[in-house]
Amino acid sequence: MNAPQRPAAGPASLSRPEAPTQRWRLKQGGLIDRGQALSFRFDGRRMTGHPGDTLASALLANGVHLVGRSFKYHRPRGILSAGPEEPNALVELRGGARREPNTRATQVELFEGLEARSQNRWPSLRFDLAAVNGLAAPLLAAGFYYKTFMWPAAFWEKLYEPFIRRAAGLGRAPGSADPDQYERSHLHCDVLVVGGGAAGLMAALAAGRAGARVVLLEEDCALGGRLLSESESVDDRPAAEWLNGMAAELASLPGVRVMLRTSAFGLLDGGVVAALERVSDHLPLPPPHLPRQRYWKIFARRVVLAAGAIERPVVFGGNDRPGVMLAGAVRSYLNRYAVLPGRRAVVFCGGDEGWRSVADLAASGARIEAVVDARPEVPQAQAQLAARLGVRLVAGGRVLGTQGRSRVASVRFADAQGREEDVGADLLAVSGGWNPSLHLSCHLGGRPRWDERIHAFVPGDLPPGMGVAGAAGGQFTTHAALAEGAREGVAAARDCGFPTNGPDIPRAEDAPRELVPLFHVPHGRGKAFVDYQHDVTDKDVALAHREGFRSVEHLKRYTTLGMATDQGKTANVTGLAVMANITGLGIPGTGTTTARPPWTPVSIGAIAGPHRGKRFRPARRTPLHDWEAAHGASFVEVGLWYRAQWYARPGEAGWRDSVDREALAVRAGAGVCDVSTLGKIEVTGPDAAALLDLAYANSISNLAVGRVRYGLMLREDGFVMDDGTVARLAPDRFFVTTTTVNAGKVMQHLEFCHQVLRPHLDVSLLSVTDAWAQVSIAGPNARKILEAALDPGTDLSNAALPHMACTEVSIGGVPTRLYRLSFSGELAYELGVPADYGEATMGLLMERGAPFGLTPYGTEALGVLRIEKGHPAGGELNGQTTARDLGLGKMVSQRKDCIGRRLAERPALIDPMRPVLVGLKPADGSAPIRAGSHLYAPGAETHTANGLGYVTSACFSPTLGHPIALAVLADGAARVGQRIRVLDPVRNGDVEAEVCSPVFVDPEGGRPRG
Amino acid sequence: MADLAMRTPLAGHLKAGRHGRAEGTPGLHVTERGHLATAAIALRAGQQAALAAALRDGFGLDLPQRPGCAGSGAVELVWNGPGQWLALDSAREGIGRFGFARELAARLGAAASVTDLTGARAVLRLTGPAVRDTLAKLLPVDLHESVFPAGAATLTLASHIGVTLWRPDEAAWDIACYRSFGESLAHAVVEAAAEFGCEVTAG
Amino acid sequence: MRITCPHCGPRGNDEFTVLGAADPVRPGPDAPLAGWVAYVHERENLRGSHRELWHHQAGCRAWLVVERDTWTHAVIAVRAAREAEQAP
Repeated sequence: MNAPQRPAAGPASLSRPEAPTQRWRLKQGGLIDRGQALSFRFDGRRMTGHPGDTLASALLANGVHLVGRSFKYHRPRGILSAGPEEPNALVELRGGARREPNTRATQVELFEGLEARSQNRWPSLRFDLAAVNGLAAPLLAAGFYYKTFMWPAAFWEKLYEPFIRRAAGLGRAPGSADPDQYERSHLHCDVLVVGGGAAGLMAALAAGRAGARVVLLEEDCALGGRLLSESESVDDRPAAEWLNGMAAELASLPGVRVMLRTSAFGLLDGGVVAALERVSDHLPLPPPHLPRQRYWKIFARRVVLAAGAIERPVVFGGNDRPGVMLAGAVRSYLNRYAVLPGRRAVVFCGGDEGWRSVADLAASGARIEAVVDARPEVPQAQAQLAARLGVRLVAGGRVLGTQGRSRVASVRFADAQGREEDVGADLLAVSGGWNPSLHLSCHLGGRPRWDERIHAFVPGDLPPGMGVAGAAGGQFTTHAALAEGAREGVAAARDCGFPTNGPDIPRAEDAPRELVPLFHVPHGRGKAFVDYQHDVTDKDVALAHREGFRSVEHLKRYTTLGMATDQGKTANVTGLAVMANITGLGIPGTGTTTARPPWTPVSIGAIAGPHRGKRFRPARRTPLHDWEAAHGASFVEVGLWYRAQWYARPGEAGWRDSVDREALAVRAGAGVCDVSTLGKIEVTGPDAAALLDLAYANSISNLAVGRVRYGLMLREDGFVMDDGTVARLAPDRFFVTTTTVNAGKVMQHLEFCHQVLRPHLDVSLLSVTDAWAQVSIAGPNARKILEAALDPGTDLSNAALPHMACTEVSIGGVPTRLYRLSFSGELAYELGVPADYGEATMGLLMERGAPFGLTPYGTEALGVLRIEKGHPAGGELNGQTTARDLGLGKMVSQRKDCIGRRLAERPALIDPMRPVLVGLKPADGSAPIRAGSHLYAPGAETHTANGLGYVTSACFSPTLGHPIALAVLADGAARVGQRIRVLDPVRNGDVEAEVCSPVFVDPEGGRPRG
Repeated sequence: MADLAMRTPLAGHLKAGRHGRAEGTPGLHVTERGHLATAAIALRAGQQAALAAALRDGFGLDLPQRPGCAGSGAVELVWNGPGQWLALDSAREGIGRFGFARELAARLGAAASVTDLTGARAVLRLTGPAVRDTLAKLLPVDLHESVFPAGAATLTLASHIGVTLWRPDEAAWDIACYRSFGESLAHAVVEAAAEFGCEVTAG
Repeated sequence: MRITCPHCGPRGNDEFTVLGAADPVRPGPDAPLAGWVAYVHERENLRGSHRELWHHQAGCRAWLVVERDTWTHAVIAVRAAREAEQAP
């Protein structure tokens, strides 16, 4: 199912005429579907390709070699590779909100109607004005932005930055929101196989046959890895046929899941593998109900890394000219895509690998102008091949440069004796050896090891649970890949409890891979690029070395080598080799390149997944939310909660009108407010009181059953953590409330006090926040309303239910809790109704309360009422205030151990000059005071040292008819009656206020007891 | 005495009907278990055996000692942390549900503290061939049959929401969260199942 | 990071919150202030094995003593704090 279908050369496909644009398409072969033509546009030009093409192969089939301009110098760039390592052929794909810059043409599967544009060119790809950057090259050398644009500083914003932004850069981000969906998902398995080439397939087969749960990830759209690109046979059958068999067997194994178009891009702490599945990127639009991409977190007991290897370019002059291509990519285009990347080729290699391209190019009808092999002695087999094909062999040679305007026209090389020569060619196939794709082995800090045999890094110490097979471990023959894959699959399955002998190893090529080091040809003609995508040359590396940036990590940062979107897949090892040449210390002595996640660029959309817009974070709604919305509530987010802020009525000009009306209604008659969001915790067990005595600053154990007490909780450092109420429902059962925002923190803190500090206590904690629809009914008429709403026979008299008492009542037979406590300073109750009945209770209260003026009020009016009453809340409980600062110092019991008591006694915290809670009112009776303003003595210089405190909460008091505020003020008690300057420099506020008691309303406190 | 109408946690927030892919049989069926009598049981020190015995004798339930669930008739127990369980009763209705916690408390005596949580949790029942693939998009726990068979339970985060997930039997998967998160959880479940087709029925 | 909760099994660190060092012992109520300051504020910044308190906030809500390597992030051992404390 997943393996490529080599289309049968039947009459149907022969009879259809070849699309006229594809002049470089080979007449036969390839894994493309010639029976179907796909039309696409590149820079507006219409072309065709076939299913099975990538954008890169289709462009090459149409003779397009120039596909983009480079980052700094705007040099013409072509297609270097045929895979995820591509540094040059980056295009803008799609348009509008779906426009995606920096897409690797070598990985884009062709689809009907595909639109792509070249990047980083102006006004056109062929004629680029900024190519003059090439002339200004000395300015743009390594570290240019650290030097050139330093001075004068004023020029940075106006001149330098716009210049750099225009001149250097890659594609353009889309201007509007991404219209597609993204998902996140999780996978669990015994054995995760990364890479679906020869090694990975055998590993998956071995583990899958053994009965293990196996996941196989393949980045490509087809299984096979390099087998798709090589003219090889496996088990004496064409590789594609063998692949079909493998795919079919894997599909038949129930425990095996094969995921195509899925890149394992990171190994995270704990061995979790992060992977990106490109679900719909190969389609014009995502199908309905499918995401564009999916971010997988994969939890595997064992990982087999079979990610293959990436061929290395060689650093020589003009090595970036379109037409210079990796030798293995040449074979991909020939064998997989049936595209001839050039008619006159030069092959430049350091060993046997390059010769495979010689053979395949010749078989495809290309003319080989020369093979420049860096080895002084070329093995007999290759020499004979050259002789048989009539190809010129330059043993011990070097390519020095290329010529041509937007594509290679000739290649200059030197032979072993140093004689230079130009030869006409339109393709230069380059092979400097292969770098194992060991990235995942490094993500948890593993250091690669230099392997002299292959002149490349191989995985060093592996992270726990990982095995490596095939080219990823530096074994490049197909036979080795198959054998190691089977071996690692068997080992991984066995480790997971699935013993197996493993499959037979199919017959496959096992030819030697001789190689001499070939990284860099110094002193060539023209710029020699190490990092194509970031335009870093060999001279930049040398400059960095001269300027002292000799460690590999410094080299990277100074030159930006390896820091482009390709993460230096083709650049890092060659860059290190160039540096090693200069240091003379050899590559392992010079440094090690390692890899960090991600292996491949991952879109922000995929990382965010569905958590954007409405699902950015979950919302918490009270049982009364819909009732409130239906009655005109505006909502405010408090943590995750949505709370009714005020209820606008027709004719009210603004929120202040609503808030003033609601607050006055409470003082004059009665109001009802949803306080369901307050944290509620039920504390049960024989030691419940003992735990609460530790957690609260004041004593709880002496609270009588049926009584409620204000509770103050400190942090261990002596500052106030939270406040709330504690109701004792039974000797071994308490109901405590917290502020809305601290509910989670307090629960966690109580659990800490129990499990860590007092593990022997027999006590249980349970969050019951969501069990109750809880409303506050406040105002002189509160009792009358409750008497009308509660089931008959409830005694609410002061004798039966005094201030700070609680009892169980019922409404409509629903067991309900009633707490007599007041935040507003009025006669007030909190009524807790089981959540299922909250909405109906609200309706009943409003109906029975109507004659008494019952008015719903929101958090703003609630705030006004408590500021008028001087109750500390969020602004005062700001993490910087002590109980003493808030006038609550006497609450801290000295008779028992409690959290925070001891450190609250520190000298600085009991300094008489510490700011304490006071009230403020404007001296002129009308100027608004803003929260956050700083307090100064009138006439004092306004600098920090003279600051006396700050305003914690402020509002307009409708009861008093003027603005009021709460503040903390140094030596506050002594300043009552004095004037203070209230300065708000951020918002140009500067008023004078009179210091007063923080209790503005009912200072005797008689009303709640009424 | 007033007559109060009850409202389940997800009433009005879980739209009945077909969501997502419209063709073929739906991969996921969702319904609210909105009428459960719910209570929390907290073990008292040294009472493990007494609690297990009381639950066995009183309700025919085997107390799960580790993450898991047990059922007998209309009553279920779901592990909810060390020494804590959720008890559910699907046979009671309306205000009759408040008798469940009282009955539990009476039968368990000093072995446990019982707290009524009726209405405090939003509970969804999920069935259908795409339950695992839907849940995989929401939570990080391995749900393979070999790891999470019928009788299993777990506490975790689903789409950033704390949940309890349990399998009362082979076919059904129940997921519960705090009532206030119910709308967000239901939305996340239905959206995650869009690919498979999702049929919501009124509870 | 993955922590194997003794009750719930292996979970990602998004289910946990960390408090800090597990070893400082809360002084007696009348211990000198210096001891209290040390308990609340003074910490070693260790490289290597470290015992920390973590809370399985989005799971079973157990406080855990997690021994982990601050250099490699490897988790060496996990115990429920309550059981660790109650062990003889």
